[in-house]
Amino acid sequence: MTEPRNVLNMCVLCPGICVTECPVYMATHIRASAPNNLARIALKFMEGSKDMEDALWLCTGCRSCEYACPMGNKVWEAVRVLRGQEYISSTEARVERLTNNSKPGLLVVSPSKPNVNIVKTLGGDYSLYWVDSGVISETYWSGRNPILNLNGIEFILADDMDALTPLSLSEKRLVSPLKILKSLGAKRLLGDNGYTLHIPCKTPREYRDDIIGGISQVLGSPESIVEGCVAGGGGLPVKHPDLAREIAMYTMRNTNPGRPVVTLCSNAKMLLRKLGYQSLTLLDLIEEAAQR
Amino acid sequence: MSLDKFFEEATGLLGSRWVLLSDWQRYPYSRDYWPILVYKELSGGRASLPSGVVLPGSEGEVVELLELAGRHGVQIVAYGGGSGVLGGAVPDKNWVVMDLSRLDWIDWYDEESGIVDVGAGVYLKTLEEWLNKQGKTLRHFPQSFPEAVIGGLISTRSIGQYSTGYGGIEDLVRGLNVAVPSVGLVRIKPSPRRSVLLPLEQMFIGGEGLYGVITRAYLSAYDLPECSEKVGWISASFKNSLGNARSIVRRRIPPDLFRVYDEKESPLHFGVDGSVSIGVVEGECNVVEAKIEGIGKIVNADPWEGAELADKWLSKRFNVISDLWKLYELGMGFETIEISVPWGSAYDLYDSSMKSLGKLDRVFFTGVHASHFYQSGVALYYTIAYSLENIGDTYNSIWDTLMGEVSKHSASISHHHGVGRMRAKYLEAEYGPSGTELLSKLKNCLDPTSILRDKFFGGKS
Ligand SMILES: Cc1cc2nc3c(=O)[nH]c(=O)nc-3n(C[C@H](O)[C@H](O)[C@H](O)COP(=O)(O)OP(=O)(O)OC[C@H]3O[C@@H](n4cnc5c(N)ncnc54)[C@H](O)[C@@H]3O)c2cc1C
Ligand code: SF4
Ligand code: SF4
Repeated sequence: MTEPRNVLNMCVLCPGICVTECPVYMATHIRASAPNNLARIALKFMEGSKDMEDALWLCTGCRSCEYACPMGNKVWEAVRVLRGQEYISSTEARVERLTNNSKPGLLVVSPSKPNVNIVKTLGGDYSLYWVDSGVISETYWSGRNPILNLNGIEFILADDMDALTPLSLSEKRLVSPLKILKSLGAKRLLGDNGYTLHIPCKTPREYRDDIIGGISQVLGSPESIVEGCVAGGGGLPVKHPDLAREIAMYTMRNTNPGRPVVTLCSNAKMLLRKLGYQSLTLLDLIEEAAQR
Repeated sequence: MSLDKFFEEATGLLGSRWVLLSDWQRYPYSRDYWPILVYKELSGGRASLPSGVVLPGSEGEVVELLELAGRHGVQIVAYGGGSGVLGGAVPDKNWVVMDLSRLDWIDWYDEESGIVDVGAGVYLKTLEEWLNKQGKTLRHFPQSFPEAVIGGLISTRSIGQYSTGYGGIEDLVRGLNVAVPSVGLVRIKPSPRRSVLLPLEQMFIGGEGLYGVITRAYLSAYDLPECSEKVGWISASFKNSLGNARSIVRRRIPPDLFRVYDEKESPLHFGVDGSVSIGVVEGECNVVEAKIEGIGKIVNADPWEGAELADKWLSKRFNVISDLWKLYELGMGFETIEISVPWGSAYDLYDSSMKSLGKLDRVFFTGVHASHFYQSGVALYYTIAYSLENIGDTYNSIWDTLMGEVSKHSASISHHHGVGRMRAKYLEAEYGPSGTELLSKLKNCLDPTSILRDKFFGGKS
């Protein structure tokens, strides 16, 4: 990881090439959240102006600024370090073993607790393991490799964009949740009204089209696609709950609130549910399909 | 002056969400992109914060806030994208900033006429993306395209990289709404052209928030071009290039985007000796081809052959941070100064100013390119790298030297960045004492209690 002071200095020197990409700034008009200004404030915080702390929580860590930055600068990472959210202590992810048989090992990567229905659905074909996706993604995005004990595991099943990226880089074969959804006939779950597909902010641009194509094949084409941050992460919903709602509503402004939203981000799911959307991740769909 | 009363009533009007008083909320407004303040901040300095920030959500609220400011003797400075490079949007300690970002609507005023109705707080990039989705374009691409907003661009009379083809912002503005302290909201309806005494909209284009606050603009959009071809060629010297450019412009076949680099900048940007010219020619394909052929005859080269030079520049055209950062790591600051000059004295000014700037202590590099061309003259854009040590003295000597040369050669002190704080002291060199007095009297008439940036003409604060 680059020294935070250098990251922040670069943004101070920059007129803000990425500002219109920041969902927090565009939704809230709070100039302190625009990446170049956020960096200016973070630097003052670093130099001792502790009264500036509130601003540090205005970043969801969506990475849109990094993608738009000609230098790929990671202001979100520096800010996260400053607010003491380095996941150093949790780089070791605890893998829980759920079933013990001679089938090939499958690791489910999920923000939720181990789920009985999924165990039932997949337990016949695999020996199941479970791990918290939050730990993996946070560790990965902080520039470290998650320490995972993958002994006995041959396949990985993850539905959270945050976790998908680092895991797909690992040696293990990724079991597409889509394949399972297809076999379970998940399409019927979404009703006749269609669905909105939410592609989360952190989705690496090179995977975007494949993801949309894959999901459309299994669930049918979405009525609309929303790309971007709904401010579910980065501590923002906890520190600035009203702003988190504003941002989510801004991102979802052109969608039909009566339609279910399939999202690849479990944080987004939680926030959207608070706003009254029926929101599901792919694991939720697997679970529901299995229940029926 | 009663700031407390002002903020109390502003809160009643806007709600507390839109009146910003805490340090972290005010901090972003402590400067714009005036380099001297940027480098000061990087060396640990802290510019003064405004006493507060108000964010009106409608044109009516802008008018009411000005009225409130007048009643309580408060000074206001309008804030757009904060990308101005001369300190125009920088508040004094006891001023209030009016951030116009909530005026963010985009809609067609009249789609058939290609006139779009835009709030003053809309980012240029957002507007261009909106237009592109409908096959339209503003074709206004200042290098600050990602950071600047419509109200700020109009207020500084900005110009973009495609200026030879599409003109400056003054050619796009068809009408404006402006909140003027002594009058209230002035609605200047959109029109293709008018001859009705003073063209009122033009009074505020380049007004830098001194005479009124722009709330709404009616802008002309173009159809996206059918063809867009890149060209480039290399001449032996900048003098040659400028001569060729003049002929190309005179024959009315200039590339829509046209840039000519001197012998100092050409090696730096393109890795070649001599003087590089690049361009983009746009429009109907057959017209584009004919123009490029015509250009080739004038420059005695095949303009298609240098297309990769144009490509190279286009790929980095909004990326200012890479070079700025490299220089900063070497302990260097960077300044850009743009002026305009009639053809008759263009090269003399260039030659003489390069010699004068070359003599300055702690100035490591000076280069020039021309990127805006007219029948009668050209804009010269100076890029200057200097030591960050003793920055105040170096900075002032660069400006005084170049403005002195400009004055000597009867050139204009600014082509498109405007005046801001930095150029205020050179104003008489442009308009003379009587012209400057006229500007000051206009100010007194439109803003008699000096609400807007009152210090500019030696006002009361
Ligand atoms: C990297 C970089 C490249 C640039 N390239 C170009 C270029 O190619 N061409 C060019 O023309 N300029 C360029 N500029 C200068 C700058 O972007 C322009 O001056 C731009 O027009 C400023 O717009 P803004 O919205 O950032 O305005 P601000 O900086 O916020 O404000 C500029 C001035 O306008 C006033 N103002 C702002 N909004 C209003 C309003 N609604 N009503 C009345 N007054 C208002 C402010 O008080 C201030 O005096 C560049 C700047 C940078 C940093
Ligand atoms: S992230 Fe990059 S583009 Fe954004 S402000 Fe920082 S340096 Fe500029
Ligand atoms: S990571 Fe996202 S929320 Fe944070 S500053 Fe960048 S664009 Fe804004």
